[in-house]
Amino acid sequence: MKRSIGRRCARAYLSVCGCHHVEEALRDVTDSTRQRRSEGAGNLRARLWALRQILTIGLYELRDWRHRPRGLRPGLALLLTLRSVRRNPGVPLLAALTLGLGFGAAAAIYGSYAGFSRPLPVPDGAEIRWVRVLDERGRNVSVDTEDFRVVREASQSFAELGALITGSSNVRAARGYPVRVQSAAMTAQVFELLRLPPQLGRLPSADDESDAVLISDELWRDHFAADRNIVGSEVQIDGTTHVIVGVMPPGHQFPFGQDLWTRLDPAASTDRIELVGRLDPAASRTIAAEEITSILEGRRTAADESALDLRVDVPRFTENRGEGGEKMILTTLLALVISLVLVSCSNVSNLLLGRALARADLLAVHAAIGAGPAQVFLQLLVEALVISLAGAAVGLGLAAIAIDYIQSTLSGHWGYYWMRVQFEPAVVLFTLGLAVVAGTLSGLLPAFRLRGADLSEVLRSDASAVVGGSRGRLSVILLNAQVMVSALALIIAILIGGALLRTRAAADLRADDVYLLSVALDGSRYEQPEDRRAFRGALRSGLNSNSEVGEMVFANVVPGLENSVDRLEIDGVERDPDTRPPRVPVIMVDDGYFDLFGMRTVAGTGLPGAASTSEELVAVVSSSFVNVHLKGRAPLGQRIRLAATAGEQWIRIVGVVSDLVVYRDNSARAHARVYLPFGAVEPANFHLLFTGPEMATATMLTAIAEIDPDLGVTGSFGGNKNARVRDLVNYIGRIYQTGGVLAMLGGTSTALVALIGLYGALAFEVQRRMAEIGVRKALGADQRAVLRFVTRTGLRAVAPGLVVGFIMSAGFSPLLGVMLGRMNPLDPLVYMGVFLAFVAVAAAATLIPGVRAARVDPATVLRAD
Amino acid sequence: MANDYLGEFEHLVLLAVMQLGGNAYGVPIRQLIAERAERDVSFGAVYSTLRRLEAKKYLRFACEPSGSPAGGRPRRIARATVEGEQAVHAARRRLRRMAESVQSPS
Repeated sequence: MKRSIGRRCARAYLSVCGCHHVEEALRDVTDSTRQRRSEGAGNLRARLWALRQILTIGLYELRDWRHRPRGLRPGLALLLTLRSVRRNPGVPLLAALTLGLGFGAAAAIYGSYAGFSRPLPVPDGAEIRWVRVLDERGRNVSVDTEDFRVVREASQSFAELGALITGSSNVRAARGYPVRVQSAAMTAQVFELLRLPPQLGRLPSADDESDAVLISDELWRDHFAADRNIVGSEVQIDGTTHVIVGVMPPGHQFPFGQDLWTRLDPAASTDRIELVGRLDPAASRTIAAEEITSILEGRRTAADESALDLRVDVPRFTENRGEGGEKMILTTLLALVISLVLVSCSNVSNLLLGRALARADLLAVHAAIGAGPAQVFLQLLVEALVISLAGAAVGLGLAAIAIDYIQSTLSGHWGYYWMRVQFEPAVVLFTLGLAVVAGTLSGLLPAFRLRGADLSEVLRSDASAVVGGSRGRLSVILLNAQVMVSALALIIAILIGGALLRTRAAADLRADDVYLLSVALDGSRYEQPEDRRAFRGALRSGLNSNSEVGEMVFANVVPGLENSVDRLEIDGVERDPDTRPPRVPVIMVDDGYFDLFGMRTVAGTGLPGAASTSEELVAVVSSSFVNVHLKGRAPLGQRIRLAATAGEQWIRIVGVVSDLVVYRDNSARAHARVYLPFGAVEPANFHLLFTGPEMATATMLTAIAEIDPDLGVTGSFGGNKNARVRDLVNYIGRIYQTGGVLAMLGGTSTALVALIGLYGALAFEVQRRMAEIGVRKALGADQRAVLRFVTRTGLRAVAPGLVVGFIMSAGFSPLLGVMLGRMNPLDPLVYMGVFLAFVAVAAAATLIPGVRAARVDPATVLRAD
Repeated sequence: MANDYLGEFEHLVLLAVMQLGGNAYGVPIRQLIAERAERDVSFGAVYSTLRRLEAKKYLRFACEPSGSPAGGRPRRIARATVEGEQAVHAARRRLRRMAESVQSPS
């Protein structure tokens, strides 16, 4: 009877109705029913009578609800909470820190997300739309000026529509060296539709001559000394004279970081234009897209190009503009962190339940002196909220530091001009909202469990009677799943984070006195490789007479930022048709490169000098290349193919040089490089690496200006023309380390959350089995046996999760490959450390209540109900 | 003193509590009212009235060990307060005064 469904339903019904003394009412009804039965009433009649009694008790409770004392006293609840926290700060502190870690991570990620998702900073920026024309496979179809003219004339959905082309230009002011900037040629409509007036001068209009240009605030300050009389001045752009008509306000770099805007003449036919417009507020995305599709189809049908099945989309200007998919990564991360916070809620809730149980007598006293169930509920909820808000304070502190760090690391080098990661009110609001939700969720479980119980019972009985019996298989499975996931996450985070943190610039890398500059020979003057080769030759001979620049080499990439990779094929090596060929960094250098960085020739010769007339393409490879890709075969004379660089042509290996170790913890695979002679490909975009005192940069700029006065040269890194290889290498190292810190933090907080959950669950479990422990002691178990029993219970509860987590880690970590650098994916130290951490927490979680259990007096425990 | 009067059912319950002494809880109160006043009342009504009387300070609850010889959990036992007893007497006086001039049917 005691555990019957009927009784459970009755208990639940009375609790919901707000009955104060559920157990007492149930006992009265049971006793009276029994008596009626003994007086001869039939079983069914007696049951129906009992049912009616229960129903009426509930109804009377509901009727009396409005007569109850209303005195919900949140102030009292807060006072009692603060008092209890002061008396026993351990659990609340632990809970606040757990939640704080989760909140901090969530707030930092939300801040980054908000920073990357800002709208275009122009009036009604959401109305600015791209007009994208796509083919049936979703690829961009180029639009020409004629398309633009037709669409602009016919479209009703756009308040204004314009066209633009982005590129880069060399700008030469009256004084100083020319500078290379991002530029955009835009039709007059684009200037208008942004609705952003210039800070000086005016916008170019359709009536202007085509030589009108607009410059950014940054360019104006850096290269025109913020001259307020600049409007009307002449400026050389790519060798032709233009007139500055205005300066845009600070921070405006539409569309992607441009510093210079020229006028695009819609009459001059070109087929690479992009359409951008301001959507009419009355038109929707679908309507606009359909309208332009039909206009374009009509035009193409008329021009007999009907074979194309076109589709038009008008996405918001900033849509899908997260370079490298940051927004997607951040959304995923945010989802992960919020689920982590929810898991930590359940764990904190367990902690609070344990704490509430330990203080159930206090709550019972409150109830006995007149606190209604609602007040007790409020009390528990306020406790959880206070802890959660304390966690939010911790989290906001962490987030402020993290956001500042993210912005300072990435600033100027990442994302689009409208993106900015900052600690803003939205982050605070988000964190507080999350804290209130998390606090409510963590407080609800203990509040419901204790509220439904007859608290006066607590004064006389064991706490487990209040919260009910078994915690069920589900919670054991959940606990083990948490242990499994967190063991996996912790091991992977330590491996990846360790590898990233250990990625530091090699001490012997020659980088301190090597400067670098970027050159782009992409104008019409340098279309042929011979033109570019002539530029190089002229520069070299111009500098020969100059003593300030020491050595100088040309390279298409700089050490540490080897972003030019190609698929490798080796002659005579059969490869599996299902797997793609490995990727190798391909670096084009001239012959002084190896000497500059102190690389030794290990076998064969160096690269052929500029004077070489050989038709055959040759390469030099690094020692690690031989080990990783040639697997010990004699390298000299081997032939390789690099499809993207040299097409189908075979390249013969003529030499092997020692590895250039930029980051000392990179794996051998990262050092496996192929060097091609610079002159063989003559790339248009390249870096100048040169040694010398700091003055060398100015000498170099002068030498370049003498050869081509219009050629703008940029600093290789963040626009700084005095940057050294060391600055670049350190900057990239810092990004690695940021990643390492984030990985470690992520892994540690996941594990911490799980460990706290583990502690809460195990401590609760031991508390619950106190009666069983009493029986064992009564049957003769000594203290040591009890401790053994308790510890075994705890360890057994987490062992399956831990074992599966370790097996998964061992299976998964070798797949991370190059991400782990020189870290051993099966590093016994890492696995042992994680294992010990989990065992230590499990042991602590069982031992602390275990010691209490061992001291327990069996008679006391058994007497309690 | 708007709340100073006793409703009829409150009167019955308070009288039952006074009569039952240290054994006044749901079952016996209900039983006593059924026997003496010949009214079959529900537990809901009894609890609700006890709560109301407690709010008027005519009775209070105390936890006492179960009176059953077989043992069992302690119970919340209702006891009339001095104010409760005074209220019963006052109600009785009022009833008597009202009834004085009314002849009972013989």
